[in-house]
Amino acid sequence: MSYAWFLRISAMRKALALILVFALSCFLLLPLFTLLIWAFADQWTFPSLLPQQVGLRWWQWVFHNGDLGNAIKLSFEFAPIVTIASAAICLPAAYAFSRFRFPLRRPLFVSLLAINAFPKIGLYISVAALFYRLNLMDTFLGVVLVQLINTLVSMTWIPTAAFNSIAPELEEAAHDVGARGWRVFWRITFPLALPGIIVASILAFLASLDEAQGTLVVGTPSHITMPVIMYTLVSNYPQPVGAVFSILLSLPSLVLLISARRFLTAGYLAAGFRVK
Amino acid sequence: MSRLSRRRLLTRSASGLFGVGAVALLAACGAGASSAVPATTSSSQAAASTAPSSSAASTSTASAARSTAAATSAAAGGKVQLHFYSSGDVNIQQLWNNDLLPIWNKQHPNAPIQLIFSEHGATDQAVIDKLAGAKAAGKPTDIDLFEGGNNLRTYGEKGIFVKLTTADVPDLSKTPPDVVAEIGSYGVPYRASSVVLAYNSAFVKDPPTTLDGVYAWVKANKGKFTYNPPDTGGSGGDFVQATLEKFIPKADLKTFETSYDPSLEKEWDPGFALLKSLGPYVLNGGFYPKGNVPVLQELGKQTVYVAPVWSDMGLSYLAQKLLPDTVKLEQITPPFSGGAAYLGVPTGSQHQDWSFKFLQWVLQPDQQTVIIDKINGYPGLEWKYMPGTVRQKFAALAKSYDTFSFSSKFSSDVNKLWYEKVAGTPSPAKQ
Amino acid sequence: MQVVAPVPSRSWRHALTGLLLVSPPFLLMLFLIVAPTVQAILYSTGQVPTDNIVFQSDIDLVSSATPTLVVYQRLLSSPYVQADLAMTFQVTIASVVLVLVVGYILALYVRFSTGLLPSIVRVLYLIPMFIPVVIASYGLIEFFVANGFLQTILAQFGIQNMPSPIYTPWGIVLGQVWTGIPFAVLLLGSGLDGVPQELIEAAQDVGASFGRILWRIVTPQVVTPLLIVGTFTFIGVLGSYTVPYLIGPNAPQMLGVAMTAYNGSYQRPQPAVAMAVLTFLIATVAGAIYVWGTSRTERTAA
Repeated sequence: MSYAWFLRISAMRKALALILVFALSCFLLLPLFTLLIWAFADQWTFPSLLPQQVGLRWWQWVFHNGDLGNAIKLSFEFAPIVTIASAAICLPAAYAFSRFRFPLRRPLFVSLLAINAFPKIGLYISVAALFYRLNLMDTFLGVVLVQLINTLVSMTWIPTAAFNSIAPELEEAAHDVGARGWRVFWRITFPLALPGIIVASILAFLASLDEAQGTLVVGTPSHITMPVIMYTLVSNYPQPVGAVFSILLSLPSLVLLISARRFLTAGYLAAGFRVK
Repeated sequence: MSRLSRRRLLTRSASGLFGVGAVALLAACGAGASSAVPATTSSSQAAASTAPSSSAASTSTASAARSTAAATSAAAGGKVQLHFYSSGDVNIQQLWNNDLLPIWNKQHPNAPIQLIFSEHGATDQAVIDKLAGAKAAGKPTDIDLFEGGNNLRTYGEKGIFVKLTTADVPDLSKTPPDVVAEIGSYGVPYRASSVVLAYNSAFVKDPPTTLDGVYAWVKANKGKFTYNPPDTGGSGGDFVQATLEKFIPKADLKTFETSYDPSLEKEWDPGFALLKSLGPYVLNGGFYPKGNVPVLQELGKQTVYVAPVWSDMGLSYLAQKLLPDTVKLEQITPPFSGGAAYLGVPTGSQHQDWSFKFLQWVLQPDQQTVIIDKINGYPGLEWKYMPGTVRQKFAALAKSYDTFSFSSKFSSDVNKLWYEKVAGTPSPAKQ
Repeated sequence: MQVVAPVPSRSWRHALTGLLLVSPPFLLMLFLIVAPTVQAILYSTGQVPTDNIVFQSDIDLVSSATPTLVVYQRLLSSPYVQADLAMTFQVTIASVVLVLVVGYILALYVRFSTGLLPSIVRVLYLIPMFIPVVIASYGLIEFFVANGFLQTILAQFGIQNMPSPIYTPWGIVLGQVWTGIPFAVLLLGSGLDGVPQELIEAAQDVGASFGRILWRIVTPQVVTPLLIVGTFTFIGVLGSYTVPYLIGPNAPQMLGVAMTAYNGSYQRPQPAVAMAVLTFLIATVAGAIYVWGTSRTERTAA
């Protein structure tokens, strides 16, 4: 361990950490920063470090394109519906996994993983074949269903962990003072599990908002959401258009990240995937 | 079902339409794609697929239907309101609403036209269904004009659109006959675009003017040429097609265009071999950007000096300063292919006389010049009927374009074989 | 999964309620995962559904009354598909290794360091989770591409003609690492949280080196999270489309891209579906390793 002396010097260690964190920030942030510059670049050619001409030309262009409004509207119609549907389907299941004993409980719980175990694009192609027979192609319901796929695991696992983390004594105590089942659930269990449910809902919301592949396969041509439009933009428009759109598309996600940071970093997310 | 070849669809995403690109991906992603096709046809810019219809079709129904419609239209007198169903990207909407229709409405106060615009043709199929429904019920319709591509022919043959003659629209005679034949005369081509060769005159003093010249130039200037894979857009697709077409015996061209016979595909071998031999001389030793626009971006970054591009996209990019102004466009010999956008008249329209007048009006040089200026399209008329200034602007491009295109299934095989024989390497990646 | 303390009731009514409550997600799974998969397997073995126009119009369609593996044989004997498969595996394994290494280092750093810097990292590594993959890919392309922003920056220092990873398999790996970091760090971090601080302090007291503590004490505690991250990343990369489509080379292609090309622009849905089934099979193997691993660690923990 000839390099150990180096790490023993606190200043050196700090410097090394600083460099590594800086490198990480560059790796994670500079690609996004590049898009930010492009969004305001009227002209930017290599090897100029900054755009030769800056302006809002492309913002106007994007806002005058009717497609954008429709896509945003559609995206924000799907996301809440998918989130609510996912919660309605999965939360009772999560509660049951946590509180009930029934045959095959553990195998069923683990088998949910199978959803994530399917390579997505292959799955969507197979789903499309099925939807085609059921006339679900290019329908609102079809898109909701395909977007639901990506929410099932986190919407079940994270709330299950949240329900698990509630000490049964609390509920028992409530029962002891005479509270009935539903009352206990709404007054004790649900509020305590809420942060976990919120995290799962945020994930579901984002999963729907960012879902492109499945929506593309099942929803075109009349259900074009924001991420689906992005595909076209990236390959059919000048860089600034894609960049402007990227910013618009990332904004809701970033707002969610910032407003829910407290919940997201509090460990509910990780707890959901913790397999002890 | 519409016989739009998928490659054509991609092709036309060319002009940069949200919808089409998405459909391109749908086509890429697949299943159910055929159900999505009708809605996209429309997609504006010269949406016309040049893929011809295989069914040689009965025209008798069309003319029969026509006489009844003509009878109803005769009743029209005084002031009438025309309804024009158009579709495409916003630039087409703006072209009609801001530029062309105000002029018409001012000149023809007795027959103002109202535009009903469907973005990317989302409702095209619904409109056609409505026309078909009205026809089946023997009722007239309030749809007087319809902008479309291949769907005009498909449904024209079912008697839904009028088969146009020079008696209806005199200046139909001034449009390129093969372009009109392409659609079975069920529409008037009013604008078009084609693939052309772009070159950066700052670096290319003596641009190639023939297809063989292009190959020679590529081999002499390593790394300064590229095109996009055939399934990602028509500009590269037409370069591939032109190369394959070169080696196909004339007698077999018709089969390649209208049907499918995999045993003929061995005739592509020399073409693919030629493309493969260009590989090492292509950008970065064989990098093909994935789309019409990425190729334009390489031209813009000046990493390549020569590439096939769509005429209208190239001109728009030049106008928007996304390409250096040293980039020039020219058509080579034999020409790359192209296609037109058409206006058709429903057989059930009650104001056919006005509709025909409108078609005639759109073909006048004044209107054609507006189209050229606003969206950088080609005129629907043959070049010789255009004013000198326009001919000058398009001097390098003002040649006819090739209307040949592989049938849908042949196109699919071109895509597959291109990836295997040109981009693909049988052994592990070269790297 | 260990249930902390289930309400102790074994009545059949309770069991029935439980099963009833968990049934919705499984019914949906049956509909959206199992049914399409069964159909895909049937179709790829020659059982062509008669009511599906898309399938009927297939070029090179193999239709057979009895199950046949002809489609698979044709696919796997094609040198181009072999190259695609090889590239898919290389990229997937490289991505898994890199995601694990980078994720583990970050998780360790976040767990065992204090101060401002780690708290910055704690927010930083979450960011990719909130950026749609399409945009991430786009950003990575514009940043790393030849004559992109990175090369522009380097050019200011006179460094030129650096090869760009974009449009090569390495570009795909880069994209997968970028998008895979948050999940990896989150899970590994949660595993590290479970390592008792006393254990580490005790080891430090007897003079164990950092490497030794890491290898002998910390890592054994996070085998399961490492396994989860490895499996999920493996399956995720295997079935990815966006990143390899946008960032990858023209050829060979990753299976997800090849699959969509076969399905769409080649008009050959049957081989496409066969490829999908192949990826399902590979993923099943990975999933089995995961289940085996977690149940093993569970047994040792018990």
